[in-house]
Amino acid sequence: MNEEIKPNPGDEKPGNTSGISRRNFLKICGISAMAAAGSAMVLKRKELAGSVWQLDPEKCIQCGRCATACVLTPSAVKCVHCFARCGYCDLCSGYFVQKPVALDTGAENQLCPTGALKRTFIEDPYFQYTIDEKLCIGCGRCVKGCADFGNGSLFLQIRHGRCKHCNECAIAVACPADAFKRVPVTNPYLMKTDVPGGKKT
Amino acid sequence: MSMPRKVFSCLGLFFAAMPLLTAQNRFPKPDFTNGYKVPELSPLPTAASPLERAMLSIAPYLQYAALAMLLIFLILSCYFLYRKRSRRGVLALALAAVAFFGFIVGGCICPVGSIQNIAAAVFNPEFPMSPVVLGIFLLPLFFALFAGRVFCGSVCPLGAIQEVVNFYSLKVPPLLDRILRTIPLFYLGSGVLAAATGIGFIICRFDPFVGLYRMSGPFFILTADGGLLLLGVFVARPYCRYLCPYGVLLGWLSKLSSRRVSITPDECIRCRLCEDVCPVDAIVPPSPPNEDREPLRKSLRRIILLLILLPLTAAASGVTGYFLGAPISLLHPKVELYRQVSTELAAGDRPQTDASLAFRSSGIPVAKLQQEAGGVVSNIRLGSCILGIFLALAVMARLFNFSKRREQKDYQVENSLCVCCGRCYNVCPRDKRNRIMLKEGG
Repeated sequence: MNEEIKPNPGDEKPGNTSGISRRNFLKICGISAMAAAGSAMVLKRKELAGSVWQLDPEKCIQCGRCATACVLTPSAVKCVHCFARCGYCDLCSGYFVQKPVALDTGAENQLCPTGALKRTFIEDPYFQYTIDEKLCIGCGRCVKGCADFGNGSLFLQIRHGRCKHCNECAIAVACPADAFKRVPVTNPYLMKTDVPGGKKT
Repeated sequence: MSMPRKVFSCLGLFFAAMPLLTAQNRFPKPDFTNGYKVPELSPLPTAASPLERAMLSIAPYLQYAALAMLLIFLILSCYFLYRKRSRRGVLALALAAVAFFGFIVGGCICPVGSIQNIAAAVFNPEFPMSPVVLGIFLLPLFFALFAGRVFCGSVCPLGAIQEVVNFYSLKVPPLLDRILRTIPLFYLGSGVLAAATGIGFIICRFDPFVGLYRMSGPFFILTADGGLLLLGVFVARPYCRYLCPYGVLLGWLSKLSSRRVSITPDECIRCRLCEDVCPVDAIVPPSPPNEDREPLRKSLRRIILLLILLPLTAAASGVTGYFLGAPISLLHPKVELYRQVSTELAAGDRPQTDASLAFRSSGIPVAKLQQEAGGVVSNIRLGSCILGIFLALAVMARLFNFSKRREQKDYQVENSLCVCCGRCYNVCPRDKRNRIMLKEGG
């Protein structure tokens, strides 16, 4: 019943082991188990390129957390405009506050807190709206305005040039609509296209 | 020609009643007469900056490059530690790791956090898993099998930054040290449980140093970061020793390694300098002569007591885990959402939170959410029951190890604790270079 007193691993000189010691046996077992489990896991998924975070604009409720929850300031999330969906309205609900004083580019009329949405005249009564990406903070106010009263042509996307690719996206944790997911890096954007509800694949 | 405006004001009446109507094509696409051409998406993807486009196109390869860098760093770490026996080399490599894996790569994804990706992928077949993540998880473990925790010493961005700031090693009292060293077991267990059941990646959420590498982060994390670094100046590697969950795995595997930091290349003169300088108390003194030990009968009795207690503790902690499952499951967003929605519906309230608002406007039936939340709760119950048993076994194994008899004649490194910093090389008076320097000096 004596406790087995085995020599401490370091006592044996390196290279002095003859045959397969218990430790080497365990090592071989460990490596083969790791290799087998790992390759089984990867081969089953067939995603060799890896994944990045992206938000699904169809699930997004424009709560504004994208602007605040990101580890970056300003956020890696920015607004994107699908022109093919846009109605080019004079009274754009994504551009103007609820009761604008006038339909012009006055700051008091604009919904965007940073003036990132630009309005240019095309022809009567149509106006084109473009996003100045440098100014956009991803708050989604224009997206909400456009989704609630317009065509839903504005939407939010994580810009991968800015994204730090955190292993756990801080916005995904904060997102109340469960809109964030990992997507293949080869197809890293979930676009709105001119087809309502359609996604570019 | 102000049709859109009219339509807009009419529709406004409806929208007051249903603010959550999903976006539709309410306004027709205009027919432009002046030859205006509708551009593509702005600013994506055509208008994306050349830098972003370039980064995206090489992103998959960059990940493999990061994996290759990890391999190179691990090999260099072995080289400096075992071939060159150079503390300076190890320190320089640690600085390089802080710069590269920390500030350039930005911290993610690191082997410490990859535990959770692996756990999530094992238990959730839909979770994306790439060879890069697997490699990042396995490489340091593989090296630990053959060369000990070389990853901790000068490769891990979390360990390296603590290595760099540490200049004085305050000794932690042995009892406190042993108690605190069980925290990583609990952290590892809960991290795996949270990742496997979908609660979240808590190891990443509470990663103290990644905020520093990104130069931004939540206030409490940055505070903890500053605090840990400050503590790390006087107490070596507080995160590595008393928190790091990956260190637990590395410790287990490095016990199998035959290669270890051999303090002196020569005969030990028992000067105890290395024991003093070791920042993580990994150097074990020679075992005392037989007459100074506690009697065999006493240690035998303790081991028998531990063996009797083992099943009891495991069972008790498993049951505790099972009952803790319900409160733990409230941390899961889906369970929390169901709780919120069901209380609201019972009271006949409008949605109170954004999450409940999003769910109730999504049209998914509550019964489906209830079913999913129920599944999550039972998973978490089972998981925390298993976690309880695992923790009991792991803690008991540690206690058992303390009672085990050792036979050892020199000051030796305990592989599972050694973080391969190479400090002991520098102080050992028998180390070759030290001997040369002593000769030259005197």
